[in-house]
Amino acid sequence: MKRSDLPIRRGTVWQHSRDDETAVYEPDSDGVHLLNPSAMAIWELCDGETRPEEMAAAISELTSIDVADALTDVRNTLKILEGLGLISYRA
Amino acid sequence: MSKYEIVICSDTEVFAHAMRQVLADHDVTVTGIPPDRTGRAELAIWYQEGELDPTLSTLTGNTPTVVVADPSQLVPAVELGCRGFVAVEADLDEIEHAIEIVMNGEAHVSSPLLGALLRHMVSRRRQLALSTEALAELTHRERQVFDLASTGRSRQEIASELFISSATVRTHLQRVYRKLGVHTQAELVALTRGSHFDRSGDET
Repeated sequence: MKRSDLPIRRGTVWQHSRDDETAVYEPDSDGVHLLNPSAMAIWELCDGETRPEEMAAAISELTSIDVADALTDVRNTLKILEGLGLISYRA
Repeated sequence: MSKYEIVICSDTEVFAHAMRQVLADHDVTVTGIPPDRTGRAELAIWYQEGELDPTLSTLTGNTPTVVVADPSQLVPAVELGCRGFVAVEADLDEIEHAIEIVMNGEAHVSSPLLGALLRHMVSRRRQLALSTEALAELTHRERQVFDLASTGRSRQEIASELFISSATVRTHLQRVYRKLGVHTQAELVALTRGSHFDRSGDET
């Protein structure tokens, strides 16, 4: 079954923020991961209803980054988050 | 003469005094809030506890403004036109950092609030896309009222410009709100002004 392009945060994670970084603990993999503010913000947008293109458009509006470059960054970050087991994609 | 003039708008003297200390080593002149809140300074710092005063938009329309407030006020602050937002519990170093970024013409928000801001912007873009279609549904008179209301004019001012009563303006506004899916004039202004972190140009 082809997956959608809608990333969603995985199950239950525990998070603790300090200064500019957030530590995220994913109990299924027993892994602790440090996310910088950008990665954390993108992870928070992974609600199963927000497309990467929408994330990139918002980031582009907020910063001086071209929307195409922002989309590349978003997709790279999503790939990392998926590899860490922090997100999946809706069917 | 100092290079920059910064206006501090605060209802607590403690904050104003602290900011003066922080900025003492910078090449700036710190002044208090001008009575008409129009602001002619290079930057304004708006500190407020609780809900933000909507008259903030009068200041942000003329002066890049850093708002220091409760995190729950992030979205209202953005909709009222701030260029920077710092949570009230942040230390003075972060406020100083926000000032430097906004003085350089960029936007700033406290890192922990970045996700919330992006969520708001995604939601807003979706609403705007819907509203473009909804604008086509407005009657001629509703469109006239909408055009004036979206610039922040009061009901009285709109009534005066269109030679209709204030009550009639209210009726038209309610229809406009319903068709565009907003509830207040502030939401209408925010919808049409564009994101206040939009780098495509400054407010006039």
